[in-house]
Amino acid sequence: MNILKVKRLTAGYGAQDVIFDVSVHIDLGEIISVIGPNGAGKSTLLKVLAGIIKPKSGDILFKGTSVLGKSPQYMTSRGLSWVPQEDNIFPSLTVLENLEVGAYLLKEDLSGRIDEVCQIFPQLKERMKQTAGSLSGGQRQMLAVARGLMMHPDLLLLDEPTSGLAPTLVHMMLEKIEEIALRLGNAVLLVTQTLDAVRLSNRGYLISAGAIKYEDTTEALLTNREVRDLYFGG
Amino acid sequence: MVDLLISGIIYGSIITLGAIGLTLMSDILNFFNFAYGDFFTLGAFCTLAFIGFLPDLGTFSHLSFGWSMVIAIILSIGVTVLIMLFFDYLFFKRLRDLGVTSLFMSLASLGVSFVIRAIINIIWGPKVRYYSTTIQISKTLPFGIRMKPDEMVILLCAFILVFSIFYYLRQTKMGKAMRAVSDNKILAQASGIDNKHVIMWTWIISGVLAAVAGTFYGIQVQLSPTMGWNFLIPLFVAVIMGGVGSFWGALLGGMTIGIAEELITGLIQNTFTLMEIQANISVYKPAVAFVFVIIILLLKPYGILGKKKG
Repeated sequence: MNILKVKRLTAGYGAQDVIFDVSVHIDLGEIISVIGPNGAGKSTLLKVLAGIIKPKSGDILFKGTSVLGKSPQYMTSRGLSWVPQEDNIFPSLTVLENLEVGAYLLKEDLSGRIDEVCQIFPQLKERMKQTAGSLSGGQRQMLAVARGLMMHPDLLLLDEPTSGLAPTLVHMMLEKIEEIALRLGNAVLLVTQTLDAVRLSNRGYLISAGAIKYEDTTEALLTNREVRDLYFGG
Repeated sequence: MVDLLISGIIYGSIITLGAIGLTLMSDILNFFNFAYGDFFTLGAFCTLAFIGFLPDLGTFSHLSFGWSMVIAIILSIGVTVLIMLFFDYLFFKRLRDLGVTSLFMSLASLGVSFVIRAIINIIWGPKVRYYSTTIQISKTLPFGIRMKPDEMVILLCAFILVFSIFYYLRQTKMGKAMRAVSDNKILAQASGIDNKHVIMWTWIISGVLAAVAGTFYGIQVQLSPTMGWNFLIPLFVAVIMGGVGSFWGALLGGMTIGIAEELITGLIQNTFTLMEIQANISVYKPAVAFVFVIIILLLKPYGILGKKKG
């Protein structure tokens, strides 16, 4: 069952279109990677799906219903969570407050959910009262993903979650993403430029100059010489 | 010297109330609201109007005011907040929806400030007014401190209000949402926070602070249609000095400016009196604030407790 079906989506900033006729679909339980060079429109695609940017044309079906032009609050309430590449935490809030804000729409007691994300990211547990702005790069990234998990999303949009991390932390973060998908049984849409992150996914899309160039299984995508040469350095 | 310091602390506590309101607005609404001083005046005059409407309920022991003032302040807070929300709906919301820049919003607020001042002038006229003409005798406290009973109440209420706002911002869900929006508006929206709701609460809190600070200033000094406009200088200096968006920065800036203005001008005035030079130095109070802000901006461009935002 498609949890997300994007049909011929065109969107951009002001008069400038950045993505053109993009069609993507994701099933529940799948990890999908979106790869492509810088400026290809990968992050823009996630922003449109999260409701941050209003699309010009096309349609977005989330859990079978059109959510075209809906607000970010609505998308979050429906079960979509977006973790941007940059500015993905609230620096003046504590780690605990960041997690609480991540579940802003919930009225229930959050201690159970906070314990759950701390099982995935135990490093955060001992830093609950620390200001998020004082965390290291790796800890910030963990907090950003943890914040995105607080609503138990059916679809998690991760924009380059390993960007700027040390190689050991990259592997740890990828293991965590796999663990999240297994634990929650949700779908993950992963924008990445890392080969290891692509290997984690079931299928992948290659986006270039705002349009989808290839769509295939991960194995097929990774054995495609053009894809390897162009985007992963051979 | 102690008298000047105490006078500075009381003046600083009133500046702090306004500065917290202004810093919240500047940070969350993302523009400098030049009309804030006139909302402060509006609050003070609404209290005066309600005192006139209410029956005389007498005064509290040692104070220049009584229950009618307490009821009038509560009603004034309500009216000031409603008028501020009305102006937001009428002007600022429309400008936000159009996506105009912070500069344009600030210029629009300048226009709103002229409108409010003109309305106050039409209703109450240009002359100076007082809540009470009773002359108060200062009480002597330990350590040679002398304060009027009204001043003690102003200081205590300002203290309670500042820490109530701090508690609200720290402990309540909406307070955390306001801080989240102040940090990162887009991420806050993506977390499910309704920015419109946060903006409404920002106007409400700022309105409460404007009405209370305006009334306290009226009790302590006097009421005039230009009181808020003149008060904008120390308010802006306190906000810039402490760092835009910083709660503790507004407190630090407000108290520093209040104390510095009173101490510096008071000491110069005393020196001139000793030297038998006739001059009214108190009119140069804003100059003290300007000197402070120039020094702070040269040394710490984002204010003492402010941070550069990405």
